[in-house]
Amino acid sequence: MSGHHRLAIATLAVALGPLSALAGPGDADGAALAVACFSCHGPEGRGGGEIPALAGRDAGEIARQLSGYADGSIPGTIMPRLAPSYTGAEVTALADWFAEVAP
Amino acid sequence: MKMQRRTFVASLAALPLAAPALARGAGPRVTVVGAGYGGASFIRTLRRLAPEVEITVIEQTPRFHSCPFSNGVIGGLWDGDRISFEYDGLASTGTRWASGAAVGFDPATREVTLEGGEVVTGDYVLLSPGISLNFAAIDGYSPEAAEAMPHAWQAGSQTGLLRRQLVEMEDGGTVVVAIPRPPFRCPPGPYERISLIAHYLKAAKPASKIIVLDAQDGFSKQGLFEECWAALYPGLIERIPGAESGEVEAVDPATMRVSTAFDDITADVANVIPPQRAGALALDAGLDGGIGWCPVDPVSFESTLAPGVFIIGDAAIMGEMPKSGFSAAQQGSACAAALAARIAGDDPAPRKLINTCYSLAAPDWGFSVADVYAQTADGIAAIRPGGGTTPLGADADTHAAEARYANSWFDTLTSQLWG
Ligand SMILES: Cc1cc2nc3c(=O)[nH]c(=O)nc-3n(C[C@H](O)[C@H](O)[C@H](O)COP(=O)(O)OP(=O)(O)OC[C@H]3O[C@@H](n4cnc5c(N)ncnc54)[C@H](O)[C@@H]3O)c2cc1C
Ligand code: HEC
Repeated sequence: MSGHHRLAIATLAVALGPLSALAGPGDADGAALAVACFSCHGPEGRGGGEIPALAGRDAGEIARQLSGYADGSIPGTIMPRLAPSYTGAEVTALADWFAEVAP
Repeated sequence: MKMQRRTFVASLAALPLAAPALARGAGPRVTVVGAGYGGASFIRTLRRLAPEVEITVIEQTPRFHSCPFSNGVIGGLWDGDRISFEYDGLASTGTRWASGAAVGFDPATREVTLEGGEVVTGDYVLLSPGISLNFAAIDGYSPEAAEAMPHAWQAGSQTGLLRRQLVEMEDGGTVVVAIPRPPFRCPPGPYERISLIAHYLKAAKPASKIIVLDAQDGFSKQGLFEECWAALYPGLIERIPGAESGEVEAVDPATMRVSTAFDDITADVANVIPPQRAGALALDAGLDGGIGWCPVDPVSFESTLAPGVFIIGDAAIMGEMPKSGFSAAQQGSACAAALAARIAGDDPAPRKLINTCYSLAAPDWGFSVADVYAQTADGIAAIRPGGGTTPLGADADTHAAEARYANSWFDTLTSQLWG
C-alpha cells in the first residue's frame, strides 16, 4: 500500500472515531458495524428526528440497552428485532464506537 | 430528455488533505451510473474513504424522485415536493457530474457512452441503475399505455399522474391495482399503495372500491396489512390472488380494460405494475447473464461476469436482502468500503448489513420488517430468519410510533444522501 493511501486511511480513521484505528483482524470492527445504524440514528449516530441520538452517550449504557433489547427485558418497536443479531463483542464494539463520537 | 452538461469541482471543506489528491490523474477513476439510493450512498462513502479517487457520476434525471414515500403522494398524505431532491449537494462533494442517460456500456473496456456521444472511461465502474419495466410481458401495455394506465413504479411524473387520476375520479369508481410476479422492487410497496389509496377513498370517495389483481398468492407482511384493512377499510379492497388467476395478462388503455385469464374488468383508474428486471444498461451489456438480474460477489458486489464492474441495489442479486432503498444504501456504503480496500491493496471485509422496510397502512398506522444480514463468501443471509416483522395484534400506540419512526427514517436517510 502506498504512503498516499495510508495517509488517506489514517485520516479516515481519525474522522470516524478512534476505535476503527485500533480494530485488528478478528476484532469486531465498531466503525464498520455502526455504518448500518446511520440511516435511522443519523450520520455518525447524531440523531434522526424521532429516533434517539447515540453519539457521545455512555458506552456502558448503550451496551446495556442493546443487551436489554436482545434479551427482551427492554421493550421497543424495532430494536428488539435488530439487537439479537449482534454478538456480545459486537455490542461492545458498537457501544464503544458511538460513545467516542462527538455528539 | 434535454442534455444539460454541468461540471462540479471539489469543495471538500471537510477533508483538507483531500483537495491536492484530487488533481486529475492522482487517483483511480471511478464511474458511477445512477445517483439513486445505491449510487448516492456509494458516492458519499467512497468520497470519505478514498478522497483521492476521481468520481464521474452519470445520472439521467435532473432531480431525484424517491419511490420510498411516493405512496404517500398518491394517497394525498403529502405533496410531491417531499419526494423530490436536488443533486447539487451530492455533486458538490467533489465529483464530475455528467447529466444525461448512459446509452451503452462495454464491460470489457469499462467505457460508458452517454446519449450525447461522450465516452467516459474509468478504472472501476459502479452501476446502481435500479429496475427496468418489462412492458412486453403484458399484452397491450407500453410506455404510451402507461400515460393512461400509470405504473408509478419509477417515481416522478408517473406518481403525479396516478394521484391526479384518483383526484379526478368520480365517487363510486373502480380502481384496479395490478401486481406482477416477484421479484419486483419493494415487496410490500404495492400493498402500502393499496392501503393509502383506500385511506384517500374512504374519506373523499367512500362509494368507490379497489380491485387488486395479484399474480402473487401470499405477500410481504400480509397478516399486518390484512389486519389494518379489516380495521380501517372494511369492504373497500377486493383482492384476487394468483391461485385464482389474479395475474393480469392484457390491458387496453382505450377502453380501460384490464384482463386476467378469467375476467375482464373496466377500471376508472388502473395502476398497472409490470414485471421487472435489472436496469436496461446492465441488461443490454449482458451483465445479467440472461436471467434478468445481475449476479455479484456477495462481499464486494463485483459482477461475477465483468471484473472491475460493481453492481448494487435493485439490479443485483443480493441473496436474501430485499430490493429496497434501505438495502441499496447499505450496499452502497459496503461496496465503497470494499472498493477502497481493493484500491489500497487489501481484501474487502464481510459486514453485517441491515434492511428495514417500513410501511404506512394509514398516516398513523405503521409497521415494519427488519432484519440483519451477514455477508459471507456463499451469499447474503438473514442472521435470524423469519424473526423480523412487527407482531400481529400490536396496539395503536405501537403502530403510531412506527409511523413516526418511518417518517424520521425517510427524512434522515434522504438528507444524508442528497442533502
Ligand atoms: C412505490 C414504491 C415504494 C417504495 N417504498 C420503499 C420504502 O418505503 N423503503 C425502501 O427502502 N424502499 C422502498 N422502495 C424501493 C426503492 O425505491 C428501491 O429499492 C431503490 O430505489 C433501489 O435503489 P437503486 O439505487 O437500485 O435504484 P434507484 O434508486 O431507482 O436509482 C437508480 C438511478 O439510476 C438512474 N439511471 C438508471 N439508468 C440510467 C442510465 N442508463 N443513465 C443514467 N442514469 C440512469 C436513475 O435515473 C436513478 O436515479 C419503494 C419502491 C416503490 C416503487
Ligand atoms: C430502522 C431504524 C433503526 C435502525 C437501523 C437502528 N435503530 Fe436503534 N433505534 C431505533 C428506534 C426506533 C429506537 C427507539 C426504540 C424502539 O422503538 O425500538 C432505537 C433505539 C436504540 C437505542 C436506545 C436509545 C435510547 O436512548 O433509548 C440504542 C442503543 C440503539 N437504538 C442502537 C442501535 C444500533 C447500535 C444500531 C445499528 C446496529 C441501530 N440502533 C439501528 C431505530 C433504529
